[in-house]
Amino acid sequence: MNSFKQLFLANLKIIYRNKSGFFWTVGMPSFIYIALSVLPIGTGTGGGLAYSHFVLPGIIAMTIMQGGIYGLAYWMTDLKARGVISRFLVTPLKMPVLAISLVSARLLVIVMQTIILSLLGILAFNANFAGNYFSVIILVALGGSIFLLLGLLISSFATSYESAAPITSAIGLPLTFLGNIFFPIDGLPTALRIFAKLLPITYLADGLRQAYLFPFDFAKIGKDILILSIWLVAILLLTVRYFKLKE
Amino acid sequence: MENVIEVENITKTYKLAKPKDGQKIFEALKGVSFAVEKGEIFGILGPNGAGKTTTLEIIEGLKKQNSGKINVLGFDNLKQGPEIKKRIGVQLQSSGYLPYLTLGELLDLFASFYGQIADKPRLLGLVNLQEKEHELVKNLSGGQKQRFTISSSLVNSPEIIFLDEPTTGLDPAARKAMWQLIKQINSQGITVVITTHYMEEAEFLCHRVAIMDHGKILQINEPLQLIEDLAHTTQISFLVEKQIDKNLFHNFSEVEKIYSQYPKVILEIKSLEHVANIVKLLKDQKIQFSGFTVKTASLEDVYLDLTGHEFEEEAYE
Repeated sequence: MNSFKQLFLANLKIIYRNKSGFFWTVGMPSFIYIALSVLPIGTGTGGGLAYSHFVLPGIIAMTIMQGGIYGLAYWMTDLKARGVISRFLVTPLKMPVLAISLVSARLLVIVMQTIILSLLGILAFNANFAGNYFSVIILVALGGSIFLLLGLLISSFATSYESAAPITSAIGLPLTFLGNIFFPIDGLPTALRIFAKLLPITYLADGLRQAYLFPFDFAKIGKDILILSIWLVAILLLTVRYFKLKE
Repeated sequence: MENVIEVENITKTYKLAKPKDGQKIFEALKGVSFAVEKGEIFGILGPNGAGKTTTLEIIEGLKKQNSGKINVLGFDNLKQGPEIKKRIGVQLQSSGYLPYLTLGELLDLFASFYGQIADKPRLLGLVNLQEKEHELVKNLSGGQKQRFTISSSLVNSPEIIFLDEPTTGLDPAARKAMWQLIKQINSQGITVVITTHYMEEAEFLCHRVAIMDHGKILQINEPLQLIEDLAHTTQISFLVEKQIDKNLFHNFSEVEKIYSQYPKVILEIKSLEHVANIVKLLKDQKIQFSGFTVKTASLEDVYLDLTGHEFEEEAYE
């Protein structure tokens, strides 16, 4: 238990002390949100919503996704390349403790990112929070877990930054542009729409949108939570099966 | 003497991503056996690619052998790896640390892996880094980093410490300081297993040395014994003004080999005691000579002798 606590705290210290990493983790999503919100995009997203209100849950979903696929996958690959993981492997540290501590620390960072972006939306762009906090917590926890585990999984197949980059791009780009983040997927061509409806981020963005913008409706948000839960179980099984740090 | 490590006939193969010379499998270890006695400094000496690191990584639990048995402190490496890990300290060839953490924080972290609390003043004091407790690892020099690596590998008070090429990349002064540190650790009763490709290091530090090449152990013994077992332990070389008759030295039983290529003459003799006799002979025969040098055999000569290095082929045709 002490090793979990030490690793958890160590990961938080590393994230906090790495100034450039901190900027990309917290600052960059905020800048993207501000930039998109001040652009004269107007409504055009259905329902007469201001774009700054529509895109806020999408940006939060994108930040959660990037924290796992890019953040954790690159971090783990870097640790392996530097010999940090090998150094851990010659100690009695149990690998699940290492993996869970990494995921937990990053999950806390994701919660912080969500709070910062939400406050930015509410305070700077009058984003009206009409949903309920409990739904947001469930969705952030589910989405964060899915994408962080996916990051661990990617790092199992990558031995260097060079080998991780194509994998993260191949997974990250479709999720970013087809995942219901910047525009509703209803406007996509049929084939892309069918593909988009398979992606977990589509349901994370949709669920967060439901939770942020509309009064709580279990029938609508329940479907998103159910599909995300199925994704979580699938990714968890794959991670348990394929996650490895070294021979 | 009690054995703390017993390695019996281990093999290790790797699948090659690209076949080399028609081979898809690379045999890194081809039946390696040795035992390490409690309290000794045991060296594994060999060039890059000899199999030293693979051997160590299997014992440490980073890799698994294809066949053969390893027993460390009474525990089987394949069945009781976690028990072994609790009792050993490891300095890997390329150890990295979590960035943005101080030395003190890293020691706390490593100690937690063993369910212990780090005695930071003692651990950092041992390697003269007590004033760096709040410093980040990235701010340390190469020698300081290596010393800290050893400090962190002692966090669990191990019975055996494994050092994989601990002085590679260090300047001579830092290397000498590292040797003293290793001796100091060993004097506390900790068994040390060290790999190196520096002959001088093995000769200075190790109680016993295993010479390894191409995945095999060629010889194991005390460094001095290995040198004494070598046929030629001393080599004399000098330059002569006129061609000499090689048969001149044939009556000297102490001369084992003669190499003469005017103006250079090289003689291999059994020991230093016979040098004076050779000088006397040259003077008695009124042979004018210069550049007289005496070179005693070293572990390097043992290695060259065992591996059939080109030195022998070139100089003693």
